[in-house]
Amino acid sequence: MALSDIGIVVQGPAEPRGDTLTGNAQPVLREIRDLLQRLIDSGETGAIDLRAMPLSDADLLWLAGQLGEGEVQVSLNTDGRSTITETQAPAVWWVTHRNAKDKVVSEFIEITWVPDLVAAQREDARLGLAYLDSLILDLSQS
Amino acid sequence: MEEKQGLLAHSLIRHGVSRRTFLKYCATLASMMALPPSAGRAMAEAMAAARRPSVIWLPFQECTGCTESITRSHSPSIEGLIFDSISLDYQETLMAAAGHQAEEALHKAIEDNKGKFLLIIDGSVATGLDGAYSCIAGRSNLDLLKEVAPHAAAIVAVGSCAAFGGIPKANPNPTGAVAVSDIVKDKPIINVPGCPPIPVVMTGVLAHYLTFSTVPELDKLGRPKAFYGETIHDRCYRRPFYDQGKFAKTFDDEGARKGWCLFELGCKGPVTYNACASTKWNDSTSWPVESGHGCIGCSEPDFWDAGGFYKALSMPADPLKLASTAAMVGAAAGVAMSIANRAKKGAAKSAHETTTLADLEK
Repeated sequence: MALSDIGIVVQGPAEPRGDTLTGNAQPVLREIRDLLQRLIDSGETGAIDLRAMPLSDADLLWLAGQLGEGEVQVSLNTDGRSTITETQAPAVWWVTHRNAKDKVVSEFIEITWVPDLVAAQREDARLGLAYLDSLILDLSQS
Repeated sequence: MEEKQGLLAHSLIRHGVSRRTFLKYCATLASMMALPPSAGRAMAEAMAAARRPSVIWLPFQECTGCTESITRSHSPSIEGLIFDSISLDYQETLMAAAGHQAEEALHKAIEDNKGKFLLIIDGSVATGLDGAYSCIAGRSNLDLLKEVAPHAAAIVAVGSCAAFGGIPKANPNPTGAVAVSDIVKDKPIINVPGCPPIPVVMTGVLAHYLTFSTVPELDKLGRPKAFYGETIHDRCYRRPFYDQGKFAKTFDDEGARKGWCLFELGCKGPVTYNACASTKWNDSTSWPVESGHGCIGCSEPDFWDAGGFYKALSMPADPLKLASTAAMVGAAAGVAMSIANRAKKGAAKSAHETTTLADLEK
């Protein structure tokens, strides 16, 4: 029996997590601005953990709306889906990690030229090399 | 043996986990552990290079709920892999060996890893009748703890029973149950309370140990600050309703249906330090307050005798005053969220500092 077979009617909002603006998102915008200034001036990257702050869903929506979407969207399929979206402010990225059940497990704003996770990792590249070698070996034997 | 000494990085590769996937996992773990976002990469590098530590897990006066909780941490997953990456040399519920074989495994693990193994304990220690209330293989838990503890590098007391005595210690405590820290005085003890504790908190403590080879920073009750640094109330998604003075008065009124604050229905969130509000339960599905029930304070000492789960805490802070303080500081400083945050937290703390579990009966 699936959960949906149980005759429960949900009253009111299905997702109770706040539909109210708390006013906590505005200072985040200013912090992003300062971090971007720092990146431009010194090259130092920054990140803000959105889950470490008392932001309601409405706050996050507001912030996402303010930042808008830019030119680059990257999606990662690894242990659940992750999306890395450049905002209308280039070098400001909205990073959302989901688990295998598609629940958001962490969310960051990254202020950097290219987010770390987009780049291929040396360890993975070595595996890629081994894979290509095995392909070539197979071909040369056939 | 080679398997035992292997690096976590090799085990990740064997299981087809790419470094990128592991980086993503570490970023999330760092977020859960309240570490700065940049810590994710450092953790990934340190953990991948870590060697498998030997772990001995002893169950004392317990219900096995803690083991149930931890073995159900998102499987199959990287979390499971972290757990696999320790060498669990003795765990009665999970090990295949039984009887004398099992006891032999225990003594071999102690002998092979003297001074280096991590000792995990769930359950309280019965001290009544010389500990006769709880025995394994004819020996009391008390006796066993005194034998094994001196050889451990550190002890992790998993669950409220091991950390604080828990339910066995509830009045009138017929077995003379005490916490591990009441018996062992000369070893670092990490308390991971909760009834049961959140699986990821357990993994987080292991990850920290693998990453830094040290005990994480602890609060005055021996709990890792990363997970127990803030109250349920501090991180509760219903907190804005508290600040607005909107409370559910019964479990079926309009306020309850609208998801208002459960403070008046006895929620112990304001005095309970745990990570439920941010990590949630069952693969981040939900948590008690989200399902409509107040927090019962299960990660605090003596929660069972704290005066009733449905009795409101006695000293609410002035909600309106709190909200305006936070807004003012936020607008004035305007620089960083963290400043407003800290101020708000400070205000919340000072508003609550007179309320402790001991005050609940007042």
